[in-house]
Amino acid sequence: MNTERKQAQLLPSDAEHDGPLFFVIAIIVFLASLAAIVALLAVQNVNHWKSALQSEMTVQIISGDPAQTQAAASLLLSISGVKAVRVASREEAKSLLEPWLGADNIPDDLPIPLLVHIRLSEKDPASSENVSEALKNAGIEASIDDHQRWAGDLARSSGIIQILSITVLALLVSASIAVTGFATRSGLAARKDLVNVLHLVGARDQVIARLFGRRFVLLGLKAGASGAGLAAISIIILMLGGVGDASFMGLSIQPGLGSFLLLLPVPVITAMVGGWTAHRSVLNSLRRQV
Amino acid sequence: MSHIGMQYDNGPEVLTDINLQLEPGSFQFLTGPSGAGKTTLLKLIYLALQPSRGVVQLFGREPALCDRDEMAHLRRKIGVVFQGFGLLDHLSVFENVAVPLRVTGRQHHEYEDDVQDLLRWVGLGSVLDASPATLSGGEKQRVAIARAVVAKPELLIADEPTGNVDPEMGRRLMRLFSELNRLGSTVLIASHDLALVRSIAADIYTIEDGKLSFKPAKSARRAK
Ligand SMILES: Nc1ncnc2c1ncn2[C@@H]1O[C@H](COP(=O)(O)OP(=O)(O)O)[C@@H](O)[C@H]1O
Ligand SMILES: [Mg+2]
Repeated sequence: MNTERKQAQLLPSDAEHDGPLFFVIAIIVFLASLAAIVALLAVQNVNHWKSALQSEMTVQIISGDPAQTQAAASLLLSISGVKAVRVASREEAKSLLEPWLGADNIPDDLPIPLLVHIRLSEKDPASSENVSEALKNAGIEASIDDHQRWAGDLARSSGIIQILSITVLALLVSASIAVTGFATRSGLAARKDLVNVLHLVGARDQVIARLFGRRFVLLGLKAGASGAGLAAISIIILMLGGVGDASFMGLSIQPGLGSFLLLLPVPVITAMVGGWTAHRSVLNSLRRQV
Repeated sequence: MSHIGMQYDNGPEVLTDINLQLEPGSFQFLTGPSGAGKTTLLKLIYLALQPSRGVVQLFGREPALCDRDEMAHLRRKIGVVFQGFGLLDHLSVFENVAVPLRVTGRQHHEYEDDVQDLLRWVGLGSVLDASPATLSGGEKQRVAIARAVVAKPELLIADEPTGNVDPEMGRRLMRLFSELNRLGSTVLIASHDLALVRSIAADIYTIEDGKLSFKPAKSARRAK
């Protein structure tokens, strides 16, 4: 179309400057995406574990006597706020000791405390005080673990990971703003002839700024898509590689659909940040001229 | 403009106490030896520079008191043929000429015919799609002139418009400026080429040592 041919870009793309910039922004976006995913996983993990831990309690029957354990189990079931109980077998208890004592070194007559797992009701769960009170009244010596400490540790470590990844994310976003601002100013200097002519024929600052903004929107879109794509590929590799259940600082890494959804808006965000930064730094530079 | 003084950074004053009033519809020359400050004075008028002191008034406005958007609007009323053309090699001849229209938001289909007609009128109908880089000095000059007049400016300023062209082309360009002046634009041309200046009956301002002197057009003023 003739019309299309004659409407060339006022601001031509600039391969010499845009190439390296594309590369840098794509890398930043890739790292930022990973940081965002780690933050997301930390949130998901802690919520998942918190609810799992808070709905459970473990009672250790010190004597290790199976009969007393059975009695304790029925007693526990009768407490309001207890949904189910499950007595762990001696084998199960033994296997917990194996890492310390070795598989064959546990004599059959060694008294091993037996465990009763309690599943609490969702509504009005029994407190550890209720449980210990009931056992004490029945004369059963037991220690109760309501997983509070573990849940606390977990929440703390997840909190730290969240803060770390959000800090990293913020740093990366600032870095991309800085590098875009720098690139815009150098692009402005490289295109001084064009900017001068536009300015002197009466182009408003906004018009000139929009030219550069547009260019960095396109660049941001491409670099953002590449960076996010790379991050998506990394997640797929993680999942395919069976690292799905690996754990990292006490958190299991199970990247799922949420991680991919998180990546979807990344190119648009990158484009917006790029365009806005370029637009603003052009306006700032122009304002310093007559 | 009145009592204009101009110095670059902390250098010596290039212009001292310049007073100049351009009558609408007039045709004026600005002469003076090289380095006298012709370009500097023109830049003050086409709003590429701000005076160190004194007051510039354009079209009844005082640019020093205007915001940036108002300045842009004032600039649109001025067409400038820059010393050294200022053409953009990444755009075609057609697009170069269309730039002043494009930046005001006008659409391609609105100005396509006008721009083509104008370029034919200055004898460049055959190089519409060429890059200015491939043109001769005279052709570039005419592209620059076409760009300066395409938005029908009230004031047309040309800085050494015949500097790079042979005398014959120089005379043709001068006829072009006269024609534009006849169509209603105020024209101000800077040139150190005295022969050229004398070839047209027009008021002549001369800058020397930072001062401006005025010599009205001899005898026959153009019939209006
Ligand atoms: N951007 C600038 N910075 C500093 N000095 C300048 C600048 N432009 C011009 N000058 C000085 O101002 C004087 C007038 O220059 P100019 O207006 O270009 O003269 P003309 O156009 O009459 O040849 C010269 O001495 C020149 O060196
Ligand atoms: Mg000059």
